[in-house]
Amino acid sequence: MRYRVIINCLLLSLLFSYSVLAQSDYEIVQGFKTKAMAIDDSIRNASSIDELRSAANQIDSLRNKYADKKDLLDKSLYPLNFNKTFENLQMAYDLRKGDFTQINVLQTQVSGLKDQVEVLNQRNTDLISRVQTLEAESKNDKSRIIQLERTVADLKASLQKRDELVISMIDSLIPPSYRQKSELSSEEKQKVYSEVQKNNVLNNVKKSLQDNIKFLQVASLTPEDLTEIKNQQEQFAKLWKSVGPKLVSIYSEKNAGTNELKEIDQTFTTWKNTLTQQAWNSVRLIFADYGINLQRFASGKEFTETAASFINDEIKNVGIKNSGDSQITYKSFADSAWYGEVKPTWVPYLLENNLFTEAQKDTVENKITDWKNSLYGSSFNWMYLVIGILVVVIVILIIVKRKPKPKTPENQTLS
Amino acid sequence: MKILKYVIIMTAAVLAGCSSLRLSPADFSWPVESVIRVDDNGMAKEDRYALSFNAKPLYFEETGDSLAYLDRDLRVIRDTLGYYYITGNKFKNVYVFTMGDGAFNLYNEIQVSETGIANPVFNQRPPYVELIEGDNQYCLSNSGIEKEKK
Repeated sequence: MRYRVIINCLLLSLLFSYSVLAQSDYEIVQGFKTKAMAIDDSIRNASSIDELRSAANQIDSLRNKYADKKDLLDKSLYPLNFNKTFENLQMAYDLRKGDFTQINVLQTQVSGLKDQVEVLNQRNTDLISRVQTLEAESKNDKSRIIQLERTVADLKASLQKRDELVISMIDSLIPPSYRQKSELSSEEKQKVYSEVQKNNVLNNVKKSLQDNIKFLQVASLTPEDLTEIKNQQEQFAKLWKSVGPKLVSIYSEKNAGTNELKEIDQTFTTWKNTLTQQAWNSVRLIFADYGINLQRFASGKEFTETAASFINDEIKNVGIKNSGDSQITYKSFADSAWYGEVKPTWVPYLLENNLFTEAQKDTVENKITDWKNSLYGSSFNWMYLVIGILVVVIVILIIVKRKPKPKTPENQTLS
Repeated sequence: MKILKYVIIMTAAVLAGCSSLRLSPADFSWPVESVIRVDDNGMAKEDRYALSFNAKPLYFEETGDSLAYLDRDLRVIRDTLGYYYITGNKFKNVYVFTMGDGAFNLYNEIQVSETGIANPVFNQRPPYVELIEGDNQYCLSNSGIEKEKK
């Protein structure tokens, strides 16, 4: 009986080994390839670190299962081989694991940034309204100016800090490794989408841009301020350019938020235009401070035309208008506003940022010269004439005095 | 006459010298069979070995039906000596081919079943090619069935 059991077992094991032996090599190879490919897919599509860990277990079990077929697989997996296949799987696993580590770190960063941004959002709103009030008050009460300047500086720093946080937020949501990819996987897209939604990123970007626009509109700024804002704007725009299309593609798939993204693009353009407008407004305000009320202008061409038109009118009025008033207007426009403030302060900024050209500057200055000539032209001519006559008279006198006297016979004897 | 003999001997020696160049040993075996789908034009293409051939005459030979190739797979393997073994589902024979000038030349037709073999597979088992059909295993060489296990 005992022997019979042993014989049966042996027969069964022989049958089993026979059926194993009878397996097609082609099927073994295909089975291995299919399983390796499935693991590779599960690694790439893993949406959590736990799913990834299960893929790691699958790699180990595949290796163990096919270890005795290594020779066959080495020959058949051209251009790969048994070890190379596992190296590739391991590499895919390590890469994906890196993504998850990065995503986890970034998620924590973004959550922290979100809180800070919210605090700054509130603070900036308060500061903007404070600047608005102080700007109005400082017109009547000069003591408010120092307070205003301090608040503007505070607001500027606060806006900049918030912008930096928003930039870090975008940077963290779509890290450079994502930006380099031509197409994100559906899991990556989902990840970015949910993080953007959760952290209200689009709203924060929009708010940041709108606050910057408001700041430009309410505060009186120097060219240095504008240069700083411009650099900040360029940095922001550069980041948005690399991230925006990715977000558009993610959002268009979800059929959501595309209007918000369009709005952000438009707000960027508005911010840029407001920055240009702010420079010209500052120039206009300088003239206004000296009692020269020029029409609104928003470009070098418009400013040149406005200034030329103003000067032409003044030239026409020479002789009609009281001469003293004309000269005061000229001095305010040319000496105080243009040569005193606009040219040294704003013209270099305008030229550097291609808002104004050398030719336009020359046109304005030629017009000023014409104006000056028409105002002071006749008195200058008289002065030149008198000076000229005086010079001629002096020269004649010198010549006459120095002319040697004719020699007389007495003189000759004496010598 | 002597000169003519000399020329003939020299020519023979030169020709013999040319034909005696052998690169040996050489192993032409494929590690695993290839399963090749025959396309609508009757062409069988194998990408790994950059091999393609017209399978229509083979099906005609096997079934007598010139359209029997449609939606069918062929199983192909090459042995150590360089012979190609081709068969397919419901084939009665394994066809052994050698390479000719732009063609496969039939070298041997090995009958393995009178009714047709179901789901055959080839394995490379040097010096033989193993054919498995259900529980039957055959060790084939270019000249026929060498061993049979049931």
